Amino acid sequence: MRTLVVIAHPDYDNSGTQAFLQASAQSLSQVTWHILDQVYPDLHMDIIAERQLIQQADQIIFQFPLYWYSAPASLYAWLDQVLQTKHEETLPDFSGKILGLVVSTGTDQKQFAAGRQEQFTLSEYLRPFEGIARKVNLQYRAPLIISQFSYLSEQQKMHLLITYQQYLTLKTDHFAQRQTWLIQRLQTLVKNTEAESQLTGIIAALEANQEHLTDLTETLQMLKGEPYE
Amino acid sequence: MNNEALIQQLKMLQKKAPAYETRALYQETIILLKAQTRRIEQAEAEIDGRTWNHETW
Repeated sequence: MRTLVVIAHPDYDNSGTQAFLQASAQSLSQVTWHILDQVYPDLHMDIIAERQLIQQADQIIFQFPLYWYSAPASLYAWLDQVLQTKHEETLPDFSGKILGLVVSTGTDQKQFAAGRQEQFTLSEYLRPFEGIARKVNLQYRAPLIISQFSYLSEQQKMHLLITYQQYLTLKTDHFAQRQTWLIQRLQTLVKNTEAESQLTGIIAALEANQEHLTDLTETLQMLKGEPYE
Repeated sequence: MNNEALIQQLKMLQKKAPAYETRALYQETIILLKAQTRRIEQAEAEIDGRTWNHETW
């Protein structure tokens, strides 16, 4: 899957979160990294070039820090100029493509709830992007939220690295897909490690578990009288 | 080999891995192993429960 990451951040070079995400994506071959504020400091977009980037991608990610419950200005400039010009009467049709959001927040994610500090959920605040996706036939997927990056422990950061890589390279976050993804990544490591036999054993155990789980799921579907997908 | 032994192996591999990204991958493998085990146990328990449900006999 080819993924275009459209980043809106007015102070990109000084963002620890963005630096971490960029380093996390570095080893992924089919990911295009596109920092709007650096390519277009004057926010005047090259519409043809931007549309080519969209056409080449299977998935488009809008990546930004949450500013006033929305995205920084450069993303809105991009949306205003690239999706539809004033001379065009029809909207673009991006059927078959996916729209994902990677949003960082300085506020704890728990505060985005009824009765808490931010009152509304992030799904509610980010609803306009879901509407935009629907309007141009993009399939909207659940956003990846990174809250209070600087407070994350080393373990949480490592988990974020993998979650982010999976978000950029998988179409969904279903357990079955994440399982296969991880096994494939380990397989690429086997050749480059001294612990080849150990790692081969671990992969075999993961695959055996995966198969066992599939069998159990099929049995359960049968017992429930549901078709197995 | 049981899961606990595999997790110990993964922790050793993680300690020795020079690259941050590889260490992250090993850590995530431990999380996956635990999740697989939990899901297998849950599915087995559900199958057991449904099989013994006399109302569906």
